[in-house]
Amino acid sequence: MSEPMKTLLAPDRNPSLEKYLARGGYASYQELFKKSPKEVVDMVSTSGLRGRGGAGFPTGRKWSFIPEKSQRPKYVVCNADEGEPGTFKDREILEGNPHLLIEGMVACGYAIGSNQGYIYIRGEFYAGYLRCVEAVKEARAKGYLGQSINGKFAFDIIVHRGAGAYICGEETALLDSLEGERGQPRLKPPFPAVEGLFRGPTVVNNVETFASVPLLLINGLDWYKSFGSPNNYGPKLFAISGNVTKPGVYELPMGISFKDFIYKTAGGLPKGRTLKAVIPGGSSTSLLLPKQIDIPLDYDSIAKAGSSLGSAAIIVIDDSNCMVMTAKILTEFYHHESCGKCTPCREGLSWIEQIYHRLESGQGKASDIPLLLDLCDQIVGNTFCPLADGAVPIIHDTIIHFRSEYEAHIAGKCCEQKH
Amino acid sequence: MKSKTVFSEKLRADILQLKAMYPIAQSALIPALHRVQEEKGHLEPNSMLEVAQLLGIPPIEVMKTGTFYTMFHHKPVGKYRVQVCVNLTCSMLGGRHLLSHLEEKLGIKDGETTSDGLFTLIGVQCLGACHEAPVVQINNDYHSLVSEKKLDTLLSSLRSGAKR
Ligand SMILES: Cc1cc2nc3c(=O)[nH]c(=O)nc-3n(C[C@H](O)[C@H](O)[C@H](O)COP(=O)(O)O)c2cc1C
Ligand code: SF4
Repeated sequence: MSEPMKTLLAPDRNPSLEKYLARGGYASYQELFKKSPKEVVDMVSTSGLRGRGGAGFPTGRKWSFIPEKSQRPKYVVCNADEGEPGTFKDREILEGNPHLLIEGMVACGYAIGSNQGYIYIRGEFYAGYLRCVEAVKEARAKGYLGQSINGKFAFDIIVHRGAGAYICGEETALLDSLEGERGQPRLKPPFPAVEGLFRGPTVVNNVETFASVPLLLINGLDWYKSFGSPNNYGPKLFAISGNVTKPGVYELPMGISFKDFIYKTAGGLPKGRTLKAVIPGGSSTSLLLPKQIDIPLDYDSIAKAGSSLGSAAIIVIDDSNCMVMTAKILTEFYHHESCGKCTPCREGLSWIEQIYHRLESGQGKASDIPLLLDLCDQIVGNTFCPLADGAVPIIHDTIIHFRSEYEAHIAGKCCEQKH
Repeated sequence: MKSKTVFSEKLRADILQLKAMYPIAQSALIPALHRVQEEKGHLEPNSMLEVAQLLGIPPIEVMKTGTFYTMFHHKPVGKYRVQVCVNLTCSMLGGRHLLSHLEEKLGIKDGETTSDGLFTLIGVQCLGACHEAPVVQINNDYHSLVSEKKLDTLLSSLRSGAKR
C-alpha cells in the first residue's frame, strides 16, 4: 500500500506565505524563466499530465493549441467550480494550498503568452474564495504576481465567484458566466483556445491541473514519471466518500490498487456491511461492481473496466442502499442543473424524474423499466453538452445490474429507504 | 427615466470598483449582485435596475443573469439560510432526514422562511464536501457531520444570538 503524499496538498494545511516560501514555494519560477515558453509547453506535454477536471485531456496539447500571435489578449482561466457530486478535491488546494495554484497559473501564462488569469470559484466556496483573494494579494505584495515577476514577466489574477450552477463547470458555460451571462454552453468550434474569454485565446484548466505544473518544474520529468505508468503519470488527488470509515481527500501516486485504496487507505466499509457498487469518478461515471475493482486506480485501467476516472471522486455504496433511490437522487440533481438549452436534456430528465417519483411512491409500472432505458437511449449523444450524457450511466447501470430492485419497487415491495 | 437610488454611497462605490476590474462591464455583474445581496438580503427589481445603471448594461441582462443562478434570491429570505445538501453522499448518510427534521421543527417546507424572518430552509445540491457528510451550509459557513442534535444546538444558538 502506498502512503499518502503531500505535494499537491500542503503538509501543513493552509500555510502562511512565509512557511510556504521556507520549504521552496515559488522556487518553480527559477526553472520556469530559464526555459522558453515553448520549452515549458513541451515539458508539460512530455510529462503526460492529463487534465484533472474530468475529461483527462493532455494538458500540454491543450496549451499548444493557443496561437502564438493574437489580436486579442490571451487568458488563463482556472476552473474552480467543483460541482460534480462526490468531488471535493480542489477545495483542499483552494483553501489549503492556494499559492501552488497561483504558481501553476503563472507558468501557464508564461507558456502561452498571457498576462491575465481568472480563478472562477463556485459561489458556495466562500472560505476558499477569501483564501484565494488573500493569497493573490500576498503574492502581489512580494512580486510573485504583478507587473514584473522575476523581472521578466507580467501576470495578474482576479478571483471571481460563481453563484450556484453546476453547468458553469463546463468550460464554455464557465466563460459565459465569467462574462456576466447565464451559464450556458457555447457552440464549439470555435474552441476556447481560439476564441474563449472576451473572445481571446483561452486555456481553461482545472485547479489540480495547474497545481501539478510547479511540482513538475521543480522536481523534473523523471520525478513526475516515477509515479504511475505511461499515459497515467503523476501524483493525483482522490476524493473518497460514502460508506467508508475514513472518507477524505488523499494524494497518491497514480496506479495504486483501487481495492487497497477503498479497504486500507479509506478504512473500508462500516462493520457488517458489504460492498454493492462504486462510482469511480464522480456521479457522471459508470458504476463498477465489487468484482471489477481489483485494478490499478488510473485513467486507462478504469476506462478498460468500462467507466472513467472522471474527477477522481469515488463514492462507495454498500448494501444498505437502494439503487433505485440512488438513481433517483442523481436524476433529481441533473434535472435541477439542466441549463434548459436543449430539449432531450430539459424534457428528458424531467420525464425520467417523474418516473422515479412514481417508482418511489409505489406507483411504478412494469413498462417503466424499458421506458427508462429508451429515454436514456434518446438522450445519449443528442444533447448540446455532456451534462445530460452524465445523467445516464447511473440510470442505465442500476437497471442493468440491479433490475430486481426496480421490479421490487414496481411490485410494491419497495425498500424501506425513503428519500 | 432615471430610477431613484436605493443603494448606499458605499455600495455604489463598490460596484463601480468591481466594474473597473474587468475588460467588459458585464463581467462585474455576478460579483455586483453578490454585493447587493450581502447588503440587502435579496435582489429587488429596483436593486437590479440600479445595478444595470451603474454597470451601464441593459436591465434585461441583469434580469436574465440574476434569475439563472440558485444563490440569488428574489424574495426576502431569512437572516439565516439553512442549506441542507440533498445530493447522493449526504443522502446516504442522512441528509434528507435532516431536511425533514427541520421542516417539522421549523414548521416550514423546503424553500420557505419562518414567520419571524430568522430561517430560510433550502435543500441544495452537492456542496463539495462529501467527506464531511451530511453537510449543512448556514449562510457562508459549512457545518460537517451534522446530526439532528447538532442541528438543534446550532439553531438554538443562532436564535439566541439573534435576540441579543
Ligand atoms: C457539466 C459539466 C461540469 C463540469 N464541471 C467541472 C468542474 O466543476 N471542474 C472542472 O475542472 N471541470 C469541469 N468540467 C470539465 C470542463 O468542461 C473542462 O473539461 C475542464 O475544466 C478542463 O480542465 P482540465 O483539462 O484541466 O481538466 C465539467 C464538464 C461538464 C460537461
Ligand atoms: S445538455 Fe443540458 S445542460 Fe447541456 S446544454 Fe443541453 S440543456 Fe444545457
